[in-house]
Amino acid sequence: MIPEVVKNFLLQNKEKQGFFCLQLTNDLLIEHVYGKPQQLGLSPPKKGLKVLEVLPVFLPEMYNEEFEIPFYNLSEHSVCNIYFIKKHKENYLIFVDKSEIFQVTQKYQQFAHEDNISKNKFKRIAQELERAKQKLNKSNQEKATLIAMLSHELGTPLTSILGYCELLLEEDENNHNLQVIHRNSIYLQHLIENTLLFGKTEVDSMSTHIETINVEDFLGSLVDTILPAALEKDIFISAQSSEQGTINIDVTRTKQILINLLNNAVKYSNHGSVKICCHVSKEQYEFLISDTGIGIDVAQQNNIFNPWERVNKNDGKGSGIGLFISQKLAKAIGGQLQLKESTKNVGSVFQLLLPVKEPSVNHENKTPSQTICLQAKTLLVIDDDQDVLDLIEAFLEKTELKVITALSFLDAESILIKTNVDLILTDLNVGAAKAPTFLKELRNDKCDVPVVLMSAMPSNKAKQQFIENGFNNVMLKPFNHNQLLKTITTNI
Amino acid sequence: MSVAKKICLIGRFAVGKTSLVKQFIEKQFGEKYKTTVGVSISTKNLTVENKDISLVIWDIAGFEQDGHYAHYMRGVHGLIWVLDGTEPESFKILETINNSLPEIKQVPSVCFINKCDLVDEWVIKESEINSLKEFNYAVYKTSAKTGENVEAGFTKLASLLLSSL
Repeated sequence: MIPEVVKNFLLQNKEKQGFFCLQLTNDLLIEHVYGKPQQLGLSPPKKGLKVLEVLPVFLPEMYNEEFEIPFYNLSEHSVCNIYFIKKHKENYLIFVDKSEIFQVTQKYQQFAHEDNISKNKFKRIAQELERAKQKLNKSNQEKATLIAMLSHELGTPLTSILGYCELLLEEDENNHNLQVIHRNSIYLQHLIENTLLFGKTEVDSMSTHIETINVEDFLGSLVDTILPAALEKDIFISAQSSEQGTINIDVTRTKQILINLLNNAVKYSNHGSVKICCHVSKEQYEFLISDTGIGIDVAQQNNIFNPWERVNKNDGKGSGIGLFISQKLAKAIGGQLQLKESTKNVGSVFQLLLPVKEPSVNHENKTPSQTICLQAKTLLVIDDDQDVLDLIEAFLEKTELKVITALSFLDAESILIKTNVDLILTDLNVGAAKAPTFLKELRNDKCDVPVVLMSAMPSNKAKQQFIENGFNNVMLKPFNHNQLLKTITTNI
Repeated sequence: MSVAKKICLIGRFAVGKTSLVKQFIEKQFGEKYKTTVGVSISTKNLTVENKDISLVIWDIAGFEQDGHYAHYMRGVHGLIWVLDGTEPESFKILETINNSLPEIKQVPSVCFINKCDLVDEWVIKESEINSLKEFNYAVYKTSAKTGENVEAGFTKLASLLLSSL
């Protein structure tokens, strides 16, 4: 008969599963065995034995108080709850079978833990990926900053080289040595522009600035740019438009793309001709650049828009980023650039398609005009590079404009106190000082003289930002004689 | 005369407590993870510094349910904290349990940082391991798979238990 105290205990604890119970003396000797220990895979212990000889794992337990051990794993398939209870002078060690509930619990817990382990693993992988991404972004950003800084720094000396070269050519336009320097300086300028764009992370999301321009003037300016290089190789260069009148395009970016293509066309032609055609329709503008050059192998045609790919890697010409940049630029302004056809030793045709767009709102207050009289006007030029100041003075020598130069913003402020100035032309960084700070101070002092910024950063976004910050215009470095005059007459 | 001492392995789920016991007692390792529910108790007799000791090893289920371990810790003589060198979360258990059961701070303990064989997945830095010194535990980088430091760690705890007699 199972003792009442055990029955009551099991009832109170809602233990309904199979069990067995050992009644123990105070010396922990087995007095009685109730139930069937075999059900839990144990041999029936003999009466009179010490319980710890039968269950040595409970040797260190303290039997001076009641205790409970839930889910004790007797074996892989046999699990029980163990209760030690003391009533009056009797001790009972009760084993309640929990094998069934254990199986279910084990199954759910296994599933939950494995799920948790997988989630943690994925979480860690995601964190690792995020860290790697941030590291990559940071190094990309650093690379872009470095390239931008280098390109910017290169732009300033190039302004002097190109500018003085132009001045010398005005005096001696047939000087072959000067022509070579000039041509290579232009090529260097072109390379810097491309490198700067390559380093820019935001090329894909570049803002566009649509301007209205006469198509023939536009094509003419392209031909003018490329003409010296074409003449050097006796290559005939021509431009043709299906219609007269105006087109609405991002002039700066489109020009960059087409100059890249025309440069390549001349570079990879040894004779014959290079032609640029513009077809205007209601939906789009199509520019076709064809040459009679070396052509591109069929196998290479799919790779030419990848960075650092060149048609002929052994010719020492080009950096291999021109077409890559051009295609990115075309995409950025909503267009499409592709190789239309190419035959080895016959030539290539590249096609640039641009959508017809409405012109952007013009932030410039005045329309360009070279006819503005500069007599009795004063220009203040601020730059910490004496060569640039001298060059601008030399460029403007033959105009009636009065040019005052300053090597620092401090000098400029002193000049402005004493002199009436009609236009300020300033570099972005003058020593350690920044032009936007100078402009802010100027406007705080109620000085409303127009200020044009000189910067070697060709990004439309940056230009837009400078104009929003209060600059009247931005002139890109390097600039030539005509560009300088145009900027002055537009803004004075 | 051998002395019997109850020691508990405590740590988060899947840190390798059961595998450490299996390696210590049977010199075996199973690749398949099987979660422990409740407690498995096994014994191992050791002779340390010419003294015999019987370690009654309580391998307790992972410490995810609040307070479920209190039943098992009753009368414990020694503790093995098991952390996982590939799982930073497993380190939080030390603080959690020490806070909920302050009396166990007095119990002789060692700390295993398990899975040291998983070199590529190891994420715990030396500085984090050094920070465990505040708990004053002997720390072992263990591998239940290769057996590295397993015997040494259990023996250290046995030695601590014998010296506390």
